[in-house]
Amino acid sequence: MSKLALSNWLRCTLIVARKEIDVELRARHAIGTISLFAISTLIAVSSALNGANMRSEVKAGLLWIVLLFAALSGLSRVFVREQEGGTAAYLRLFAPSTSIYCGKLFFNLLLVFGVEAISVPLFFIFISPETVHYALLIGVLALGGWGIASGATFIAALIANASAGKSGLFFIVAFPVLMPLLLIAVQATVGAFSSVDTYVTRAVADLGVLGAYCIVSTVAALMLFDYVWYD
Amino acid sequence: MLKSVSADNISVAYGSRTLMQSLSFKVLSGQCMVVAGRNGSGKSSLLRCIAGLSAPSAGTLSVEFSERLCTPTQLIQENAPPGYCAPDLNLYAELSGRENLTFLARLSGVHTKKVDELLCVVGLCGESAGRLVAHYSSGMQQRLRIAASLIQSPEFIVWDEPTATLDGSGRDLVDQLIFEYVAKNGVVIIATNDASETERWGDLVVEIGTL
Repeated sequence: MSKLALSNWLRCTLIVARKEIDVELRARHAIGTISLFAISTLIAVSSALNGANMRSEVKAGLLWIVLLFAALSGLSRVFVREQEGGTAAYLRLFAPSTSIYCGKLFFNLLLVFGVEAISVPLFFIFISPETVHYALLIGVLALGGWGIASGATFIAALIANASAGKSGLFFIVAFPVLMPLLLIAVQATVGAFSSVDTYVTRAVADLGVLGAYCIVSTVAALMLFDYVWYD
Repeated sequence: MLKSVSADNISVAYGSRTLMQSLSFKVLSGQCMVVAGRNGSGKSSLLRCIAGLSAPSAGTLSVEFSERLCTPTQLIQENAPPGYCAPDLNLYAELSGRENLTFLARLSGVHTKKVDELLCVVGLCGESAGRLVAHYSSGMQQRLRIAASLIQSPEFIVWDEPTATLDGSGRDLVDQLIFEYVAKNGVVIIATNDASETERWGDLVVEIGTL
C-alpha cells in the first residue's frame, strides 16, 4: 500500500469512527444498554453473595461474565443499525470496506473499554479481591477487550443482513468464536487475583495467547470482511 | 472521460426469483435512459446492479471511459462511485442534513465547501441544513439524498424514482439537474413509473417486467 493510499485509508477509518461516536452520543443505542447491564449484574451478584468468601477462580469468572455479556448486549448495534436504518449502502458507496471494519472496531473498542472502566471499579467495590496484580490485570483487560471487540464487530457484520432474529443469531455465532478467548481471559485473571507464583507466571504466558488471538481474529476479519460486506 | 454505460445480456434476481433475463443496453454520454415498468418488476434491483451495489446473476455491466473499461463495482472500490439515489437509501437520522453531507464529503476527500453549495442547490440551505434528518419531511429527505448522490460530482448518476416524494419545485429541480447532466455529457439512468417523466427525460427507454 502506498503512503497516499495508507493515509487515505486511515482518514476514512477515523471519519467512520468519528461518525459512530457522534451517532452514539446522540442516540445512545449502546451506552445505556451496556451500562445498565454491567451495573445491575454487579449489584445483583454482590447482594446475592452477601460478602461470602470466594476463590479467585470464581471472582475471575464473575468479572468476565459481566464484561462479556454487557459488551455483547451493545456491540452488534454498529452494523445492525446501518442495515435496519437503510444507511449501509452509503458506507458501501463511499468508504473502503476495511476502513468501515476498522472504524467500527475502533468504536466498539471504546465501548468495551468504557464497560471495563465502569465495571472493574464497581467489581472492586462489591467483590473486593484480596490480591491484585494491577499491571497483569490491565494487560488481560486490554487484550480481552480487544478480542471481544474484534470478534463481535465481525460477527455483527455477518448477521446484519439476516432477515430476522439478529440478536439471537449474534449470540449463537459469537458463543463459539469468543469462548476460547473467554477461557484464556478468565485463566489469566485468576493469575492476576492470585498470590500463588505459579498462577501468576501462567497468567503472564496467557497474555501472549490472548495477544495472538486478538491479532489472528483482527487479521482474519479484515481478510474476510469484503465477502460479508458486499452482496 | 466517460463514454458509455452498458449491459450485455444481464440477468437480475431478487433472492431466488429471477426478475429479468438477457437485458442489454448501451447509454452513451449525453444520454438519459429511463427504466420503466410496473411495481415489483425489478427496476430498483436493476438500478442497484447498475450502481455497483449488487452484481447481476448473469451477464456483464461495464462503464467505458476513453482510456479504460471497468465495472460499476470497480468504480466503488476506486472511491469514485456513481451518484446513486433510491427511496430505500437513508441518511443518518441522528445527524443534521449538513453533518450527513459533510460525513460523505470527508469520506470522498471532497472539500466541505461543496456541502453548502449542494444544500443550496437542493433547497436545503439555512436553518433546515442544521436540523436533524429525523425531523425532515420525506420530501426534504429526498432532496438530501439527491444532494448526497452529487457530492463527488460523478460522471454518471443512477436515480430510482427521484420525484416520488417531491413537491412541484422539487420536481422542477430534478428536471433541471437531469438536463444539466445530459448537457454536460454525463450518463443518466433513472427508474420511474410516471409516463410523462419517461417521455420528458428518456433518450432511451427500457421497459421491464415481462417475465
